[in-house]
Amino acid sequence: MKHTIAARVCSLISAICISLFLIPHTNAQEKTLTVYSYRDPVLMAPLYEAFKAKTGIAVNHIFAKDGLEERIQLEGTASPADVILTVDVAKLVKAKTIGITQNFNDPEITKVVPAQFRDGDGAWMAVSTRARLIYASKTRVSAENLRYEDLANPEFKGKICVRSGLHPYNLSLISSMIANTGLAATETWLAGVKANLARKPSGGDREQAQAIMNGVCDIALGNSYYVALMQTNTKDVVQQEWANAIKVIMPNAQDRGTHVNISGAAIAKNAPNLVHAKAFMQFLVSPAAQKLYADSVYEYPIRADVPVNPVIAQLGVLKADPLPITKISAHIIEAAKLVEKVGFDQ
Amino acid sequence: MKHAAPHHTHNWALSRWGAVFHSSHLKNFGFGLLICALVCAPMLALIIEALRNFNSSTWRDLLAYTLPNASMNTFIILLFASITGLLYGAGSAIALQFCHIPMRCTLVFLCVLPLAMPTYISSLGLMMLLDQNANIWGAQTLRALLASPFGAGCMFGLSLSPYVFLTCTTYLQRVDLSCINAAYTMGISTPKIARDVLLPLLRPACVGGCALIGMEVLNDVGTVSFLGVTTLTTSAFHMWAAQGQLGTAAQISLIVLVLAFGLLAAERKARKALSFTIDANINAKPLTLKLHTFTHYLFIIPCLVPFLVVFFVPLFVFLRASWGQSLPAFTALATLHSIGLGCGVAVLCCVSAFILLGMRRHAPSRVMSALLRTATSGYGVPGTLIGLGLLLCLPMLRNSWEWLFPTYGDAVVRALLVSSPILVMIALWIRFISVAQAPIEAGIAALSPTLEQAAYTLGASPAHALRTIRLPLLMPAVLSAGLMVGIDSIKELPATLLLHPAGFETLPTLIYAATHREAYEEAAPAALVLIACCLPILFGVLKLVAKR
Repeated sequence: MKHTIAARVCSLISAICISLFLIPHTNAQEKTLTVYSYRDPVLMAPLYEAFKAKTGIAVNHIFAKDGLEERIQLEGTASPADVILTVDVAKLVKAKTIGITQNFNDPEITKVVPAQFRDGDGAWMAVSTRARLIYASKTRVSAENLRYEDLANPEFKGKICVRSGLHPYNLSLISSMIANTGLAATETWLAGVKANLARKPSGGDREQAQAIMNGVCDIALGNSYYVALMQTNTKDVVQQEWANAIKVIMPNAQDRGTHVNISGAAIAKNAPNLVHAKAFMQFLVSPAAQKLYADSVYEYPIRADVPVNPVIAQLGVLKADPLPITKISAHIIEAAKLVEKVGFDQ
Repeated sequence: MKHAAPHHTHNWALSRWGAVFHSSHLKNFGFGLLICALVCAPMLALIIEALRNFNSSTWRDLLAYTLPNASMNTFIILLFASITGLLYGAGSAIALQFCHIPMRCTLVFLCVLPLAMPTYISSLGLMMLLDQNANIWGAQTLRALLASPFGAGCMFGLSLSPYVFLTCTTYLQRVDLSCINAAYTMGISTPKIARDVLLPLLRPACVGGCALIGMEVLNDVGTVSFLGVTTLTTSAFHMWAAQGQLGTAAQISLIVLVLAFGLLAAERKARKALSFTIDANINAKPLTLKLHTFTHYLFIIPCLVPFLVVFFVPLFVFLRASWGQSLPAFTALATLHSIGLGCGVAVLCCVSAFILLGMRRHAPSRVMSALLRTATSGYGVPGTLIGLGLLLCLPMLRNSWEWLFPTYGDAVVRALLVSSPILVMIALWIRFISVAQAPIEAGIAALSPTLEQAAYTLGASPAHALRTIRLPLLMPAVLSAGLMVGIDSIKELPATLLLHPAGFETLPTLIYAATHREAYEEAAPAALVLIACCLPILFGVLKLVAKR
């Protein structure tokens, strides 16, 4: 008897939960846009709200760490994806290569996004940029100018921390090294950096700053916006101490410039809401959205007329590597193979 | 009699095939075949993709650089996960069965509690603790150890030791232990009894538990990615996601599949061995090992270590990190999605397992048994591979649908498969149907067929007999099956991450997103909510198991 009652209660709860979770997630009458994104929904929420306030279009968001391009490709014409949002140029180039994007040549986009940071055919565009910087201990590193190449110098043996070599941020940097210095030189360089590691590559960029504060290593590689995220973190205030323990060096500032990667967007080939997708692309490069985006994720706005967030501005003036971003992304697979070959993560 | 045997065998075989193709059973056979086809479709898609895209130069690179390291790491993790799982799982089962330990019921609960916390959440908690206390002596060494294949193996072993504990405990309650008393009568010492009698006796249970641990290890992407250890599963995922080589990813996946099916076979063999136990004498006096009183208390250690390391410490870290913080955005919705997904998959798995087992009971044949075995083989396949396989099936499904309904093809496929959580549910159903099958099968086996026969004699229809006799009697087994599937589905990450539709975040995907952007302080409250969801379900399972 008890079990029958329990079973009925369980069935009732199950029925309520199932019906609740199968309810469509958007109002059928509402204008919507579906974004497949490598940036998680919490960070994108302010931008989506601003877009909805301006256009009345609500944004559905799918977040994944990897594989969104393949998912769109396999979904084919049934794919609900309108816009693809990535945090790495290689994924945009791949999206174009496998034929899941469509060209959008908007005069405003052509005007405000530098040619170096958009596709020549209009398949994708950058929304913002970020620099791959060197974090160095304020107390233990006296050098003010360093090059990426210096990280392989024997003087830094046992003093370098870095996240996995297979992470897109590092793969992108290694690709830029291949593009600038050649494959053989990059292999020697990567093996040199591996030999200088203080510990096995692990964690994220913020944990490298923490490791510097804890004296595990003196030098690390990290993205520009993480410094700001640590400095302004009020939820986990200890991260402010990590940020205060490091100084930021813009690598190769004296020669070819610092490696930058982009956050970018493309319209999906089978976008069911093409008009909304185009409106979203135009919104992304508008001054208001650029300011909002730059302030919420602390990246460099793609528009020259939008000021950099003050926290990022204090890191110094960025001299970006002028090499077209597509030339860098062309070496991504070679970079991944090099990481495996030198056993960087082992 | 001997002369009649071949004829008898021939008749037997004919009658079995006859039973299958008998008009009344053809429907059952068709249903079983449909479930098998659904379970096998993603794996077949992967195999076809692997065979279609073989490239010898890619394999040269793989063999030279990627596979040696990934295989070695996978082997080390499997080895140490099994050793640790055995040490603590079997150790605590022996301790609670044979030692004078106070608060036995509480300790049983503590031994199973790690199941409420997924391994990737435990790893996150421990890493947060070590990073927060990096200046304390040994913290950096421990961190480096945890981020190694050895450390990852130990984490899995501790976290999944309840699997070994549960299989060993169930076994020890069913097996006749009078041989231990006999050994004592013969004057054999306790260490020798442990080595020569107890451990060989426990072997099938240990193999079964370790096989379950192994399958979970092969399924994992979250923990090893977080700890920075490359395994065969992550290599396949990386090959697909970062390098866009789907064919090569499928080829590496085949290695994982072979390993997983090996483990599945070992688990089934062990389960079969467990079913041939001699029933324990329930009136027998509880057996106690002859040990020093202090040694009895020492046996509390294996019961407490997994609970402390992979549950209590991470829980404490999350509570401290969440103190005074509001829940991250979308947590309420993600909780609803997780519970809804758990309930949905639980209902699906229980219903299909119930029907499959019922079919085998009414039309027992080798074909039906083979169908059942195939339908429940999904547990051995990592969630990432099921997800990948289902995605590979999408174009075929879309094309078939378009061919059938040219006007509504895309719209229906989009609404049903891509924009709703149905694909996630299918993936989890494929993976967890065997979790539901085991308790329901045990429940059906315990059911006397004479009860139903009596009902039929009294004029009850099969439906009436099912509703009034079988279902009420099987309800505890079905409920515990549902709860077990529910807890697994709520915790599941790899397949959900790969297949979830827009706006459908679950608690694991929310935690993964927060850890992905290195906002561990935001992941902590969501992790607490996940644990809070799992705890009452686990408690329910334990209560039901205890009653049975």
